[in-house]
Amino acid sequence: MPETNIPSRKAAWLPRLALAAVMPALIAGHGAAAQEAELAPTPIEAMAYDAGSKALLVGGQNGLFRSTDEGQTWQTVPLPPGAGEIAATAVPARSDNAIYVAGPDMGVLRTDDRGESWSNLNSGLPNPHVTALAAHSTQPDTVYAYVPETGIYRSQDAGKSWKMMDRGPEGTSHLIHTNMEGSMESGWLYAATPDGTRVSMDCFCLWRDAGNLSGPITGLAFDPQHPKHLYAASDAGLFKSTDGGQEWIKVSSPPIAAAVTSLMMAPTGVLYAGADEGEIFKSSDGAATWERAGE
Amino acid sequence: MNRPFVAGTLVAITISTAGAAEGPPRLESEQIELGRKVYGQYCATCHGSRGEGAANWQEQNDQGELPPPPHGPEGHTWRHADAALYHTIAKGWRDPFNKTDRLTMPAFEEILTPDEIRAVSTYLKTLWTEEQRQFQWEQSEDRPFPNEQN
Ligand code: HEC
Repeated sequence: MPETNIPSRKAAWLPRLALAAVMPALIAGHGAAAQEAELAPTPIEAMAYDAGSKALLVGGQNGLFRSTDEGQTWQTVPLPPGAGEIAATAVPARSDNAIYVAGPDMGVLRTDDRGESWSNLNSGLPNPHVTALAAHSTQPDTVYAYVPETGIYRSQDAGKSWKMMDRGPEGTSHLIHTNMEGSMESGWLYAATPDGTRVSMDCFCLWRDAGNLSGPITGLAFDPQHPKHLYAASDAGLFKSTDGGQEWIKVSSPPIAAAVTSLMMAPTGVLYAGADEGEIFKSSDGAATWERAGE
Repeated sequence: MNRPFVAGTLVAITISTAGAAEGPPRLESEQIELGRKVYGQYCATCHGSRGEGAANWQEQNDQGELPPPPHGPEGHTWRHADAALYHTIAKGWRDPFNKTDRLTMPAFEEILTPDEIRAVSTYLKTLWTEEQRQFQWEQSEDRPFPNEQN
């Protein structure tokens, strides 16, 4: 059964019309095609990497953008009208063109065709105020969404239904799932919070401090090739851990005065940092040296 | 049901279509009794006679090890599928962030029979709320106890 309701397959859904009311609503394609675009000078809040098409995805107040040449040129990924700001984006494991986006007004949306059509995945969430989102690092249909003041919801059917797992760390702004070994279930969740990073196995057994970083964490990433390796950004700089977040050492920050607003490491081993004014930097040596992406 | 009528009906339809309308089966009293005995003999010294766990179980102790957690509603035993509970009891466990390498939760596969391991897990289920029972039962649907004899 296809998960998306793209027009050519609509007939297959007819026998299920009785259930339509509880199925994720489709937001029809609105005709806007992908276009060449420049990134606006606003914070890069969200980043993801689509390994299938080797595409870098970035999002923020002005929408979602995609680059297949390391940030030299960008195309828009059209969003439904009025979707609002993007707080997080994620690509499911082993995906083919699937992208999730989430934000404070849109809840969680998913496209399987690079933005030509979107599914609204908010039935089962208490409200569409989502500030953080993570795709499971190995299970393609599992995704996590953080709803402030309520908690972390997990879906194991690509967003069709959600289950509230627990309250999660207060004020979570970024959430990542890693496949570091040693979990009682299937991996680990790390949260960037207003005061340091927190970690729990993905059974939601116990949230605890991941090391002694303090203050607001503005970006959080892990290395898919070495899942014990994590990167975190705060006002105090950029930090790296090689033991799953117990100890952190300071590493080089991108050469800007402005704050890092998101971090992401692609399976290629390249670490990307998005900043306050729409700049994107990359490091191929684990945050020893940085260069501006696209230059 | 405390949902508005219409929404409740729709939800009921989807649930029954998915074949998951029932709740967890009743626990067999013989298994509970066997499990209670096993628990008292092998588990209570660490996890407490009523499954209350150690004080401050959420933080590493002076040796840098996580203490034995409670098994009741305040703990997280109910978050694990049957397969995971069985595996933890049979093979033992240590938190990967512990500062020591020993299995702080001992392995019981040489001490308890498979049936005793299932029975003590069954006993632990009597310590949970109804909601937690439901959650754990759903988790176990595709991760049941391994099918080992006696
Ligand atoms: C020597 C002390 C000790 C004994 C005896 C012991 N445990 Fe544990 N157990 C622990 C510790 C410590 C942990 C926590 C390990 C961790 O998370 O690092 C634990 C964890 C567990 C867990 C996983 C956490 C959870 O709540 O799901 C289960 C299940 C468990 N024990 C069941 C049992 C059962 C059943 C017995 C008896 C057959 C038993 N334990 C006997 C020390 C003990």
